Amino acid sequence: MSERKRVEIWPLSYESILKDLYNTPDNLKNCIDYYFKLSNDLIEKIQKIINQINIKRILFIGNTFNYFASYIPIYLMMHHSSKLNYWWQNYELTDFYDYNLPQFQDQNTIYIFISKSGESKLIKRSIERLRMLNIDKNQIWLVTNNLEPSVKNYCGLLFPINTSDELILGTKSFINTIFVIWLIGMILINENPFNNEIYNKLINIIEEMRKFESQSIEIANQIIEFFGIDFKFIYFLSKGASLSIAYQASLAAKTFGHVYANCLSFGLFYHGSFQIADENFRSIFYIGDDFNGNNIEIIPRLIDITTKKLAKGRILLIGNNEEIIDKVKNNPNVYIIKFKCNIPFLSPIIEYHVSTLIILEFAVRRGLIMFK
Amino acid sequence: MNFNSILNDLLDIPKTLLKSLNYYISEEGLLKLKRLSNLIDSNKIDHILFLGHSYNYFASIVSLYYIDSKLRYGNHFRRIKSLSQEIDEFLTYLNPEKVNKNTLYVLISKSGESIQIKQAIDFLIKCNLPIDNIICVTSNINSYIGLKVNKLNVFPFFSENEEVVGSKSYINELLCLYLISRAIVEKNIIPDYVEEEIRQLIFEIKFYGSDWEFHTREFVNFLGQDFDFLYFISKGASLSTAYQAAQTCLSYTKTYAEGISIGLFLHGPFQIVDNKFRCILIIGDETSIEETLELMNLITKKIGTGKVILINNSRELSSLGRANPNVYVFEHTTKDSYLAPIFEIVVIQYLLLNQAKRKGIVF
Repeated sequence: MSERKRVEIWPLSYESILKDLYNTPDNLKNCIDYYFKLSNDLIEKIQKIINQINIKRILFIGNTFNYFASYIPIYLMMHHSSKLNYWWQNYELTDFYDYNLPQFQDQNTIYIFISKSGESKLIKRSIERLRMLNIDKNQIWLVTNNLEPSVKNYCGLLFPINTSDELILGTKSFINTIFVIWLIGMILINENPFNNEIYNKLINIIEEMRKFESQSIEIANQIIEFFGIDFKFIYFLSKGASLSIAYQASLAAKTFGHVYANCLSFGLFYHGSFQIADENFRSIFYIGDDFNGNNIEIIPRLIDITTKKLAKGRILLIGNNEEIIDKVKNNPNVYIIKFKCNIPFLSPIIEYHVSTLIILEFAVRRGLIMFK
Repeated sequence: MNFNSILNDLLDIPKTLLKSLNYYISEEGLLKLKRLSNLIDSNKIDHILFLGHSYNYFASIVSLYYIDSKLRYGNHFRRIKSLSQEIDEFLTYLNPEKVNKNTLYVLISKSGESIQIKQAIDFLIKCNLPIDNIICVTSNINSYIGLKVNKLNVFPFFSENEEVVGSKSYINELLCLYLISRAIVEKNIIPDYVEEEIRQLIFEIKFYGSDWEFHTREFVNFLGQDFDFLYFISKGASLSTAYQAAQTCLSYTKTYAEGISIGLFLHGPFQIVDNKFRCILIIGDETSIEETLELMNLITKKIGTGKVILINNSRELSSLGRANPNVYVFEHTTKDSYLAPIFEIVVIQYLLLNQAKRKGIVF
């Protein structure tokens, strides 16, 4: 058991949370089908606005998981930068409000706000401020689960995330948000995401999620044996779009599992804090794509240092990068969960679903969640 | 590691900063800054991309906030978009087919010789960018990157040898990047009042060097030793301090730590707060004081009775903080929020040195 003094038990039962999490793939499927029905209409709407406005910047703005999700279109756009004539950036909402909200009638920026409720204080204030500056409503888009937010009339486009009720904020909605802003990103890089090939790949993602569900309790228990439950600190390390999951899982570990956690990119960890590793080192690595670059060297070396050389720490690797997995699969201090995802920028969906199911089992073992 | 060597490095900081400042107000340094300013217009630069790893990357955060602060105003002299990327992510994910010809790339590396920084410059040169669109910030002007770019695009800083990597060079990089940012977006690069403020800052750091033991002892007495984790929470340009402090804490004092923005903390992991919660709150401007107060109340009264050291430069915030017994206020006088990170990290480095000594990591 954790030694921490204040341990709050969640008011929800394990069974109800598990049932809710198992509903995530269906929830995502509904969202996918909703957008595939819109398909060309949506593309036309977006392209019409893009053609009207001389865009120089696309900003994604949200708080917590909405902000983390925005890393996905950011990496997508970065990877396809050759197709873009504009700059892209994501901002944490408070930071945007305090330091970046324009003070003039900016005619060259698209502001994409992301908010599940569509009613959060700073989202409303920010949008109202843009409105006061006479910024064209077509430059203000909102990704939300609220079909009638109070700022609806100030937004040129509203993208529903179609999430049913969720017991834990940011579980199902985070995954649908990822999907929706990925779609927006695809259209912004001039790729049509609405075709059979992509639809089938999306269905494969849902199947991978369900496949993991069928063995999640058994795997989670193996990981608990492997990690132990008394560790005080856990690192979430990643790169690219999967960083969004590392950030969100780190947040979930703190709020949901009451474990201190930190999230860093492999690059930052490798060039800085790896020296903290000792035999208590516990980390989850997310490697959701096969854009390897230097990582083909760095990640196995990092694993070697933290599990063999500097310390005998333990790592859970969740990924679909065959080459890196091959290099570390024989290391007894690495537990691997391998999945398949043919849309690398959407690997985070599977990674997150896997992570929440594992964190749930940890929370039960730590006595934070009770059975019925 | 040797305590005295590290301490001497910290005490040496004012001297190195003065050397860096003197360089940039000299004919040669000013020429480089003015040339950079002209280059923004002649090469039609509309984007800046800062690239570096670890503390080099953190240092560039100050530049981002500075340059972005001008982008908010439609009538500012120059409005440039900027971005900062950790070098590994840049090399892995940026599509090499075509890079924006109107972007200025700023490579930051103390040695100028690290593998990825070398790869980055080779990559950029291969992209057939105008060579003047690449500048480097380094303490080694004869390094690989220093020799690859136009000599006039090498912006040196002076940190010589250091026992703990980054202890002096991070601070000098901050100053160098501040001046580069001014060259990018300001008409008058180093007006008298800016030079005066930097000199005042250097003086204050020197003064702190004679007083560090007293302040550090106060911090340590206040924080106690019974904590598992140290949070560094911040906002704006001072976020660079939070990230760098957390990294130093992890790598050299072997204390678990995280650097995080106030916004993210308030909308997320605040539930981790309990009576053992310890945090260093670093505030370098007077934006949304009420939010900072909300955070302090949450940590010290509402969710737990944690403790906060507030390092800030605001008379108003300091006086509000002093009313709370679980907040220890340290106020400094560097008002420019883009120079404040220099002072903030100095204070924290002395504290972390003390922590490392107590843990038996330095002798």
